[in-house]
Amino acid sequence: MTKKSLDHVLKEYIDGIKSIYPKADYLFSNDTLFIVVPKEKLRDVTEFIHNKMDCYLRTCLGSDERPLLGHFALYHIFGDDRNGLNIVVKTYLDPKKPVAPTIMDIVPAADWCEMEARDLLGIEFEGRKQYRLVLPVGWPDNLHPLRKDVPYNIRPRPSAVGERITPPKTATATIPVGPYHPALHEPEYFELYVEGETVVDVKYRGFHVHRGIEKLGESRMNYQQVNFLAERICGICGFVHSTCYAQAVEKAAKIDVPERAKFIRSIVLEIERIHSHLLWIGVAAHLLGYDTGFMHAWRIREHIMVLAEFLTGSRKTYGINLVGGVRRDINEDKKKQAIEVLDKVEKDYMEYLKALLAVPEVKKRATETGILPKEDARKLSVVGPTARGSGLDRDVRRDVPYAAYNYVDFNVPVYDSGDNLARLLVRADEVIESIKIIRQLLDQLPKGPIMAEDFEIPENRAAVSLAEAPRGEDIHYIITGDGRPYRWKVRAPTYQNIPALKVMLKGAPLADAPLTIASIDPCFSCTDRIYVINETSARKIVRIGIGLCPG
Amino acid sequence: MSEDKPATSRSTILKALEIALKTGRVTRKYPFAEPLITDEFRGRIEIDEEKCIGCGACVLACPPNALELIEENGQRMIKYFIGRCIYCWRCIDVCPVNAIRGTRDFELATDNIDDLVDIVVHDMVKCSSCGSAFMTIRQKIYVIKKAPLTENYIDKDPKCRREKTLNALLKRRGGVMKYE
Amino acid sequence: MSLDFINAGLVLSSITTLLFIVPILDSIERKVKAAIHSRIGPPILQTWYDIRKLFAKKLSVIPNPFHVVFFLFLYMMLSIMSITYFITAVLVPMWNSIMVLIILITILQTTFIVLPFVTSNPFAIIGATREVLLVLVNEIVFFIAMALLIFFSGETYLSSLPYIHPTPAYLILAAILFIVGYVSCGRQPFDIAEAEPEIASGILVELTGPLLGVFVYANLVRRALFKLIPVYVLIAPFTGSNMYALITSLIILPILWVIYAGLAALFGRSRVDIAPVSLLKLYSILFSITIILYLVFK
Repeated sequence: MTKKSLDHVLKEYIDGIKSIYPKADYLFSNDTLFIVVPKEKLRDVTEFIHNKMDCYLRTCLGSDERPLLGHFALYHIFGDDRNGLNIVVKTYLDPKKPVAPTIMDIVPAADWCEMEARDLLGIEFEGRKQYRLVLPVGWPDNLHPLRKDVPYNIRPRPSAVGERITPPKTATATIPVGPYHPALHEPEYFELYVEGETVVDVKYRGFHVHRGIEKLGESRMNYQQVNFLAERICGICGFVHSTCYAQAVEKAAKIDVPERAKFIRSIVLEIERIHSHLLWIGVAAHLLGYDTGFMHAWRIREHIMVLAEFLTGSRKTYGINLVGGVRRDINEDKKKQAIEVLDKVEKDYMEYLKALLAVPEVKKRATETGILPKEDARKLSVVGPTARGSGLDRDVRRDVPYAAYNYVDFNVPVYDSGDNLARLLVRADEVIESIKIIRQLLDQLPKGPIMAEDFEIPENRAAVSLAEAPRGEDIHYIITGDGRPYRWKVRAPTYQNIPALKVMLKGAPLADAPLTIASIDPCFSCTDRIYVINETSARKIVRIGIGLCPG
Repeated sequence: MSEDKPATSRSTILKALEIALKTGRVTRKYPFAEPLITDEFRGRIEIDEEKCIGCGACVLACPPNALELIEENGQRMIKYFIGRCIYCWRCIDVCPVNAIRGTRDFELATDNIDDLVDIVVHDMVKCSSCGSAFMTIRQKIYVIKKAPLTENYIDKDPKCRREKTLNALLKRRGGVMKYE
Repeated sequence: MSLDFINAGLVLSSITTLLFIVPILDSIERKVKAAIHSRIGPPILQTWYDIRKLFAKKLSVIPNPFHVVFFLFLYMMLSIMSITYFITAVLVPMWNSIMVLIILITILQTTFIVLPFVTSNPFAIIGATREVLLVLVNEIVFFIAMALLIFFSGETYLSSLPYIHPTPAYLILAAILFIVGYVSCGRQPFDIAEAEPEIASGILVELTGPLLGVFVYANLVRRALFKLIPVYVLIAPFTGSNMYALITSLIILPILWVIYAGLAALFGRSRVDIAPVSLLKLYSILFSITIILYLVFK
């Protein structure tokens, strides 16, 4: 993209916003356009950016800036992937009683992030149904943990309110099971309402494992320590988070990261993607009862795990990212061994895929189940293989290149059918692309240091950083502070993809529900289920989830 | 682009058998066989009591607070609790005297929590004016070696040192007031 | 003919061997699957170890203990009884033994289906409702196949099968019985009742400790029975003597078990709305062939 067209695009945005609000402040830094508008104009501006300029909503976040500016602030982050741009719309809110207009009716994807800002910062949203999303049920109503006057280690006395299952009056049995179930994933809680074997409606309740990581990063740790905390956001794609965090700080502080460090980051990122996709493919095979496929996917993955350990020192949570660079170098010997492993993995994997797709049940059961139409995918701003399986051609590695991705050449697999098979094939193809990318990166690995020398991180700078995790794009938003981030917002891809499950599950057979839920690849840990039978109408409620304490 | 992809290539369910035959057995009887780790593996750390000067740099760098600095009764303790350790080896990076060594140990399960705690105890230097303990003896030796200072300064804790400097400055300017 | 000592000894020894060897066969199945997975797999006595461990555990009280325990023991007794009856009927001519076997197996299968329903455990019931559909198709086919067997061979004695002349129609019938046996064993792709990841754990979710041990064991005996019947039906006409037929069947049983294990490892799991339909299609084709063959070679 040439400089001129970027200027042109920027002018288009600024003119459009000026026509709505002539006094709008703006600033362009890195690849991000920051705009400040009053809250009365927020909806108009959103409409312009989202509908007219065809941008995605990346996420939104609140920030307590009373100690700095005497206001609450609300940021909406939009993405223009075609031009590789981020647009951050900032709105100041009243410090006493922060109230903002909702944009959920314009951008349905804003539902969760608005409710998260309400829970964590006490920002009320006008014109929509408000509910508690992130905080546990027993948490006090007016204690908003991300406000700066709330200490990070506060332990409020939980009130004796319990979350209750309210089965229909005619229900005969309520059976809680849990908290562990070995075959399902993530402490999320789904209520599937089924008639016979068909799912008719879905209810979701999540955030049972909200760990307050953002608060911890903003109050207890320092810049370098947060890398390791960020890596622990996810047990499968942690390196993407730490890279994304480090990049955000580097962007905000304008630190020049050595090229070699960028290459090593990209190599490890792709290794992580291969391991994650192979893990997913294995589990999908297991869900379809094809354990041979499960075992062999993980056998191939083991080579990648050992390679990751050889390159970084750990099988998972590699711990090699720091703000300014990486901690472990890839020497000639490691390079040679990495290429050998990749050759073996590629050969084994190609054969494995043939075997997997030859199993009639795998194809039969993945085809035309869990369909997410393209329009819904667009409206819900889904990301990653979920989007690419529904025909949305989005991949921030290509659209907003970071690390060393602008030095390599790769395809972004896109399938149009939107079913479980499409998502499976997207992942299957991406493994091959990742191997290709690592080969190119190892080949071009530049000489030089792996860590930036002596840098300072100035206060009150902001940056948006994106990274394509195996499940979709991670977004980290940083406002720098004194020795640690002032505000650190993380948006994991599953956050964006879960609402799409409602569309996928409706009308599908119950037996396919676990596969469909797995098809967005939520992080795997544990889930349980609760199930209610209503004998009079043969209408049942199947609950998959955790953390429900009836009574 | 999907034409030449393996997705569409013909194969039968017997392909899995072929793969299995070719691969053979890959698992091993792990607790009885060698674990699958490479030379680069990061495991538990070991603090060399002889080398450690008790400066606490590792404590500041440690992300999960696995290393703690405890001061009591004129002694300083560096406490390493393996239960919290994430094996990032940041402490090794920052240690000024290379007193921390990384090992490849990871089979650390135990039924006694004391096995997971490692404590290095240092005697501390007392401030010559106020008498409060403020650094370890080894730290003092290290500082003197690195930056030779007069005994006068090194024996005072930072607060007394600042007071002394300021009073000296005031005196030189002819003032009589004592800095509080 | 009267039950002589040789026959009594043979019946007793084959039953004891079978009852002891069935868990070992299951371990071999696990070993075979492990080999296809490129794993080491469990030792050869693992299933016995499992059962022993289950029996060492505390007997825990479950809701509706009477119904569950009653049906569970009924299920185990029926499994053992059916296989004992089968072996006895092979050696000793008993009038209408094929029909009695059909009835026994029908009761056995019914108990197997009813078992999860009496638990009032919803997850077990989901599995059971899925199983009902499959078993319905399968049982009816078993019924028809056995009826055709009597019709084609003109025999109602199990022990007379070694003395009939095998026709092509008869062989196709045996093939149908093999499929019925495979499906009844609940292996992939027909393990839809115990599909744990698919919110249907079958009866397994409800039982623990010794009760689960009983169920696991009874299930293995049932699996053995469903393998023995088709093997016997197929090879009996070629052996010429019911004693040889029985011994050969018992020798073939482990081989068949290994083949089934290997097959199961190569398939995925079908779905309740797919499996019965595709089975019905397959069965109707086979039935048409067998009837046509019967008419042609008559």
